[in-house]
Amino acid sequence: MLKVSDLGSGLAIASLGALVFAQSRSFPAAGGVPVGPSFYPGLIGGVLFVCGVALAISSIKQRTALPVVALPGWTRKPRSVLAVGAIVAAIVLYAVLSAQLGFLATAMLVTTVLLLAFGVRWYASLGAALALSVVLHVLFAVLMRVPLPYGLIERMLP
Amino acid sequence: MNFLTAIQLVFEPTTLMVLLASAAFGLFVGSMPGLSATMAAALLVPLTFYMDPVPAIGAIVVCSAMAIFAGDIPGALLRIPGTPASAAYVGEAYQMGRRGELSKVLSVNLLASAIGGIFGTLLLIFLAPQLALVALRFSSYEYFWLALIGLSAATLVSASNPIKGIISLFLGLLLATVGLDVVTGFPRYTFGSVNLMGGVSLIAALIGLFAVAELFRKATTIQERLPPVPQVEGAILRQGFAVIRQYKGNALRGSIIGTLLGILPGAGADIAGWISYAVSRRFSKTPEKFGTGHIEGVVDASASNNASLGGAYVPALVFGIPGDSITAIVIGVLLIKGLTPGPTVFTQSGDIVAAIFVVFILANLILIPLGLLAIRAARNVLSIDARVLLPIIVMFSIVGAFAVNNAVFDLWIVLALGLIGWLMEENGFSVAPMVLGLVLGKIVEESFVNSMIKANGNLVAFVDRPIAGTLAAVFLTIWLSPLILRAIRSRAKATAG
Repeated sequence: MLKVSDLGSGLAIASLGALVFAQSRSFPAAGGVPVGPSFYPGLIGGVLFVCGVALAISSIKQRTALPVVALPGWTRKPRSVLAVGAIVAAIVLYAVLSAQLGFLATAMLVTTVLLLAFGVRWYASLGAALALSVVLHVLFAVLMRVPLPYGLIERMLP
Repeated sequence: MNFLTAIQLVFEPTTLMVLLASAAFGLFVGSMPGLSATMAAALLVPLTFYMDPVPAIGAIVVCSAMAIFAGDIPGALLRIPGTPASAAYVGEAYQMGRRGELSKVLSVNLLASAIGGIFGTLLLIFLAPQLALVALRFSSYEYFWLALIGLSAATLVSASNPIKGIISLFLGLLLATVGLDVVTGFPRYTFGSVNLMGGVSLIAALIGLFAVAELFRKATTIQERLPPVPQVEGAILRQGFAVIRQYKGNALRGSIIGTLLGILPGAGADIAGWISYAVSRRFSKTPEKFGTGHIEGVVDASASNNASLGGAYVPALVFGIPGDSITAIVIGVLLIKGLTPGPTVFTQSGDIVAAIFVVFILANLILIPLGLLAIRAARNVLSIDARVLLPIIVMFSIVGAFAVNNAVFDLWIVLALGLIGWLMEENGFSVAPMVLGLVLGKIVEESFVNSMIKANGNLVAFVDRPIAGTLAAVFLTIWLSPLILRAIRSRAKATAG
């Protein structure tokens, strides 16, 4: 993940705190109760703002000449970038496709993509994806009776 | 609390099966470098969702005890700790292994872990119900201060930079405010989304922060291969017994320190291992041998990290304040099961609490035979290819997080918090305080708002009662003492310079 200097993260946290605080001012007051819904988020926003500023100031005081945002070493290794991207893609693909394709088809597709991206050969990827999808299906749908998404392959099952 | 009923609850065939399976899972995850005990517990949460409370909590107890021991295995074999809790003594253990004493050091790891685990459990069994009797007299004011003390300790102990610890904690508290406000029902930070009305799903958040964030980190080193693993030969247990007999004082001291650090909110097995190793060296008769493959510190630290697991349940069960990140997960699971941790849990759900104690003892007893198997199988387990293993865990995280609410939205939370958790850890922000904040956020706000309503807005009521006043003083001391110490030190430096 990105390397962010304390100056950068301090400023980011301080702006988040300020945003949270400002938003909390728009919450309505609760009638007859001394503290309404705005009090607690306002407090949190305030603390985040103060801590963010403190972090940024302490970073300036140390005078470390680090860039605000830097790319770490792994981003220059294509295999690592591919692997990290594949995990993001797996979650996105499952979220987008599972309702239409059903659990088994989605799981097989997503696992195959993951294994290929991690550098496993295509035939091993396909086999492992098939096995894992069936195991997950048995574990969640059969043993724990979770209603997994229904779709392409489920329709063909007895 | 009735221990006979509790034993019946635990010794049910299905429960025993669950415990055995989670033991195997814990040993596996613990011995894989880069996969931590906390991650193992987080991955179990979706499965526990569909279980009764006893197997659900029992699975986490057994799994974490196994994982903390199993972390020692790759330490001795490859000089790579399986979990951060074993990091303190991998150098020592590895050098012993190189000298041909692999079976000796691993058997010491195993026996000391079991001893530490049982010691921590016994202290938990004796201490927690007594503390609960005291805590029964607490009102919402005392709870408010106690929660603040717990959160402060957690923040200050677990973070190297206190400001970053506070930021992490408050990010967690902020996440906990998402959803309908506890008192008025006003929707906060939902951005008009119905999915966020009920708040951020705790299970999705745990999987994102503890599992997916670790997977991202491990994916960046996917092309690195583990060195070849030696096979453990010869009789294992007998050598271990001899060493433990020689260093029984160390085993006891490690157990005591570990349990106490476990009780302290924020300090868990990781810190227990480091501190016990340092204490062992400081008070050793032969400190010069430390670092050359000497067993003494290994006894202390192996006992200590397992002892901390039991200790962490003391504040978790009595006050609802987690002692480490694993008990933060346990509190989440208890809340999902409709059990609110606190002193009343000992009276209202006494059998469940007793059953958790029974599971703890059982876990540390079966640790010895199962641990032996794990040591024998280590060579095969460690030769599993990470390129195949990681995709399996990714899929397990996705399906587990999705299955709990059958909500696609939870997957976006997993992804977002996975990336945020990774970003934070890479930049020196520990995610543990954030999880504490997320778990405790609603309770802190509720007890504060209830206290304010009772006191009609008068803040004096918060320190009016003697116990509340004392707790408030403790809270202030925790925060002010580092500042005062720093001021004194800088003045001393100024006069000296």
